[in-house]
Amino acid sequence: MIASRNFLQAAGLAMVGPAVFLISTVVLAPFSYVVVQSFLAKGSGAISLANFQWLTGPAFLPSLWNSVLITGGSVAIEILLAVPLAILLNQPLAGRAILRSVITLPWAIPTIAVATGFLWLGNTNYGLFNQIGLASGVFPEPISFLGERGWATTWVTLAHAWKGLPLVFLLVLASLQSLSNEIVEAARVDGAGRFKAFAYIVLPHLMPSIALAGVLSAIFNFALFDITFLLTGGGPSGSTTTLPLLLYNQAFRALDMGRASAVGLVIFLSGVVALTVVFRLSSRSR
Amino acid sequence: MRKRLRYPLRSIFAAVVVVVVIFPFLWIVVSSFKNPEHFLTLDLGEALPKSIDFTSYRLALRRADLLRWMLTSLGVASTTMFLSLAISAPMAFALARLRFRGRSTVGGLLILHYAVPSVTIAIPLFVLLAALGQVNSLPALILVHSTLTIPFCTWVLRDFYNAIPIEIEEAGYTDGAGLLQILRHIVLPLSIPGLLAAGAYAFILSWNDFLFAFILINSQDNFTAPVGIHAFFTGRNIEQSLWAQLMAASTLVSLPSAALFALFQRHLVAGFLSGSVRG
Repeated sequence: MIASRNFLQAAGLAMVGPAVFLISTVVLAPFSYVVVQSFLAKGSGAISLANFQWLTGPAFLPSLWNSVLITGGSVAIEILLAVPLAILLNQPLAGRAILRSVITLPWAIPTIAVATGFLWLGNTNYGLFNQIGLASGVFPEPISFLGERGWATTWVTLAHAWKGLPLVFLLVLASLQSLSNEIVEAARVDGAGRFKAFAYIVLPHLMPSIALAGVLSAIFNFALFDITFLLTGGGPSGSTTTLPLLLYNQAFRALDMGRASAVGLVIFLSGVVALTVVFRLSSRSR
Repeated sequence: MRKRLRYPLRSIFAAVVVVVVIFPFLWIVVSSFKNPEHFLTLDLGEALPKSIDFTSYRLALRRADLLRWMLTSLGVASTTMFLSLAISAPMAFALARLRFRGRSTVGGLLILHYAVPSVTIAIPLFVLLAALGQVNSLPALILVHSTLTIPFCTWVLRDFYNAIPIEIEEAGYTDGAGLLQILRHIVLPLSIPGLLAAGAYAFILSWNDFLFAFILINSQDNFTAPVGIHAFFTGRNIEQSLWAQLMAASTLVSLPSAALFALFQRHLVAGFLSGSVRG
């Protein structure tokens, strides 16, 4: 480089300056506030661990369980759908490019519309599922997909899976495209059946991407507020109150910033642990 | 004969599968064309619209301020898009090309930003903005959205800059060009696909955002489209005309993101695959 070192130093700092300033005010300042608040007792403002002790109690643990259930369920559905979809859409097909973009479209759909879709399909009397279920006699009576425990959890899980599917699909498809066809064909020539070729060659090749996509999607779904809030608001009787909703309720309903902050830290730390796993996975696969 | 049939049959099967997957959204669009007076029906035969009827759209646009909220969203999302690019592109270039002290700290800051979930900072941001008297402020919302896009935009653009052969830039320096001229005449034109991907991402993130707009904006005058739709078109036991309007409003709010996504999909997907993803 021709330019002097001092000039480069100044140019470098000037170019990252605005971003660093924004990240500091919009992310770091609120985050520090969360850390400090989580150690302050409500009312007295004394330093205490009360908010973290509260995390071991009956107000927090059911929400943690709901989050784990909805996140685990949605990631499992995403992977179980994404792998066969990627294999299907990796073959020669008419309109393949269009089909692939349609599959990835949910990523771009606003969460408010995602919620509308699942509210409408799951509507107790007039939703399509109930209409078909009742007309065919499968349902003896209408099912309240968003109002019954169990069903509401299922519905919220499905909505998360739908929104998260594109990411997993794209990562799996990219990995599939990097697998040379010749290896699979060679195995077929050597007498491996379709299933064996898949189980011993394709699947092991896909595993790192599936793991990476699964962890990334889990981080995202674990911290997602909108879809659950818009679909059920956390109900019925708290059965879909995930950690993001608990955080919101503690801050705006209970007006307890300390507890809300402790919940926020739990979500953050879970993500950090998972991200560490991602970095390990991606550095190993390189 | 069996071989010849395989391609069309597989194509049809794939198309059916894709329609099933996209169905929750497709069903909103289809339902938005039903007549709002016959929207809720127990009869399965009436589930599909008999003809394409735009009444729901007319009612939705007339009711409340849907059009105005969409214009607000458009303003917020386009400003966010330009601001993100203006902030992220220089940062990405500096990280890719310039050796300066503090470079690795900035890289670490980006990862920390990426790791902090939106939901964790949304409420303290509200507290902070309230203390500054900036609740309900659209410029504040734009700054927040722009900040959220920084990790993705920076990483995508950094990959683009890294892919430009450094010899081109060095040739420019040898010919006597300064840093600014190099940026303008060499780096900028070569990074246009990256800017498109980052810009489309920033616009879609901002346009789709519910969480921050919902928490930071509580005056009807400044609602963005998702918050306005939530406030005015949803609720317990809403009547059938409102259901129909919710379908129309949800279709309308999805169109810009879906269109941008369709247009820039190739660039966006390259960005996702570079390993930097946030919903």
